[in-house]
Amino acid sequence: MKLAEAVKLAGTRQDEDQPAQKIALACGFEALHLKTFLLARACQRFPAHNVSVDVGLYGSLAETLRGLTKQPPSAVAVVMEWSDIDPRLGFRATGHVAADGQDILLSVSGQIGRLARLIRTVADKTVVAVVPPHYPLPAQYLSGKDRLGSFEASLRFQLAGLINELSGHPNVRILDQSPMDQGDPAFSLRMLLRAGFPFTTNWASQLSERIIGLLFPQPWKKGIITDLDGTLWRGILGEVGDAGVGWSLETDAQGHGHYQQLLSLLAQQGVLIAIASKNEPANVEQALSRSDLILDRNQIFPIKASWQRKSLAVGDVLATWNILPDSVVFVDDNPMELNEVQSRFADITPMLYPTDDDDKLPAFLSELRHLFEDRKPRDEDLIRLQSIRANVAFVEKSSVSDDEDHEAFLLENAPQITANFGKQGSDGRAFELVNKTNQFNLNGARYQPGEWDGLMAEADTFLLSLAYEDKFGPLGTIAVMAGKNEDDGARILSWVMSCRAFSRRIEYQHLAIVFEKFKAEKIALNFVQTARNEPITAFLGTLLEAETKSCISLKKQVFEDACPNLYHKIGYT
Amino acid sequence: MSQMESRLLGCFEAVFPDVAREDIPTAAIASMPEWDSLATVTLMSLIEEEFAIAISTDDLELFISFLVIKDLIGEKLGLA
Repeated sequence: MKLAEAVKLAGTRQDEDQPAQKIALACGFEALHLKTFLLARACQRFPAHNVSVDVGLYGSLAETLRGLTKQPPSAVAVVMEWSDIDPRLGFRATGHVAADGQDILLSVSGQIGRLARLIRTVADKTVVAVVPPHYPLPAQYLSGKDRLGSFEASLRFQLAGLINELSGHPNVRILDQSPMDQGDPAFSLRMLLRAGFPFTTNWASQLSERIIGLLFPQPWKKGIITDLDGTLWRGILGEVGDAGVGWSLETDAQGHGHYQQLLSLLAQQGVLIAIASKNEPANVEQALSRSDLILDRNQIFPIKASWQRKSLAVGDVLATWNILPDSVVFVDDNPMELNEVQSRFADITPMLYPTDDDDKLPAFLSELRHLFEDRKPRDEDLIRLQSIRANVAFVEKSSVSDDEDHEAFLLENAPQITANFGKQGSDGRAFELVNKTNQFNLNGARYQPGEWDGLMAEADTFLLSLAYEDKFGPLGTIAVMAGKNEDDGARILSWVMSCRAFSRRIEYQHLAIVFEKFKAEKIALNFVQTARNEPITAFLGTLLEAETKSCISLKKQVFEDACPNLYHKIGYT
Repeated sequence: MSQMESRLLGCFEAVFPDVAREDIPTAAIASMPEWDSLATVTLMSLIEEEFAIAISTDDLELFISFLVIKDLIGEKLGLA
């Protein structure tokens, strides 16, 4: 983005009636063009919001952070310079420095500790992007040419400690500057001395793009459908047999081993992995049962091996997972197969496996990795695949029964719902579900951590999470409703349910529990139709004769008249 | 109006969106309270970007009116 475009975008009058999106830029320098670029990119990202970027006190990052601990905005960008750690390390200050720099190193330790505490405190309330010092130290602190001196090494060691500590905080996102190192220079001494702004215009533009990407990442993908021959392994299974395909150094196929390793790691973090391959099913089973396979056979579901078109196999996988194509990556080494699949599923993300060029593999694997959230596995992640398998069994049984049998089928399943009104949610699961569910989603609203915590902190707000289990197995926490207890009933602000939980009447039970809990005669639902929430729109249509529109009011009597028999055994935690 | 003047006018419009287009050719730091040091630096960066030229610290002292800046750019582009 050019500065002229950014100035124009940032200067656009905003509608004050739109919801606010407040971003704070915490830095010790004059924010100048970085503020302009951040505001412009945030305006592009949130066209229906009233976006603002506030900057703190010039020359004092710590004071700015202290202010943000009291009133955190939606998101915070912390852009550090060496001079924030000690003013003598910057270009705008001069003064006596001991030859070995020990006096600086002593003060640096304390200041790094202070900054770490302040950033952690802000991050407890909102999401924070941290940009570590990027540009070089003044020459008096450097050592010989191409040699890292002891002073600079000590300094970088202490800074690495700060970054290491902050990177463990769930709301802190550290900017990895290594992809930005090539190309245009970042630092402009001319601008720093003239205007107090340390960056070149081009670098400020790049930096703002990455900060917005860290603070407001694009929706994560949920699943990978992978090809086998030339992708998961080297070799054509139908020609060389299961013993002939490889993924190791010995078989000159180490790249495929790394690919399997990445898939295995992603599967442990809850990413769904399936196979779509043109092969004989029996051969595929044989190869996947090899004991040296790095990707665990149990991490893959479903496996679609046939001689049909790939798009048919991909369609079957999507139906089994019950997720939309735009949440899925399809990996194949054959561009024709990628095109064929994309012609039917335009929103799927196709990725070409670089089977003949190992030099392209690192970029391919990085690109694939970056499409998925990097986080610690949760309980739900561990049972997700199990619950999808259970769901297939459920749907198969359900689809063969007529109306009368279906009622008996639902009863025999011994469905159990565990309702939790705890506002902390279960290990962040409620927050995660609200922010990633598309289909059964009342209004598509997404929340930043600070916004969500603020909502939960309000006295009249309630959160109702449901976990489900039946004879086919547990689904874990699959439905979340956030609302307010009002004088004349309840108001639902956010309501989502995992697509794995459809067809079990859990949505009816969710409303029934709210009617019961709050002795409500009516429930107001802040409904907004989105491009993707057809399932909840259809559900609300079964309850209300009138066309579904925003802010629906559902009377208890109307709900009870429309509600089918519910067989769930309810427990509370 | 030359093409160079028109492009310079665009830079001024971006920095001073509240100033009418027809008033920009007479714009001067002495009569515009919104023309502060930040506006000067933003104007400088926009001009550097638009005309692919470098503005030195000495040049910055000439950032006092549209006309003077126009002459400065003309010199740097070899138009004067």
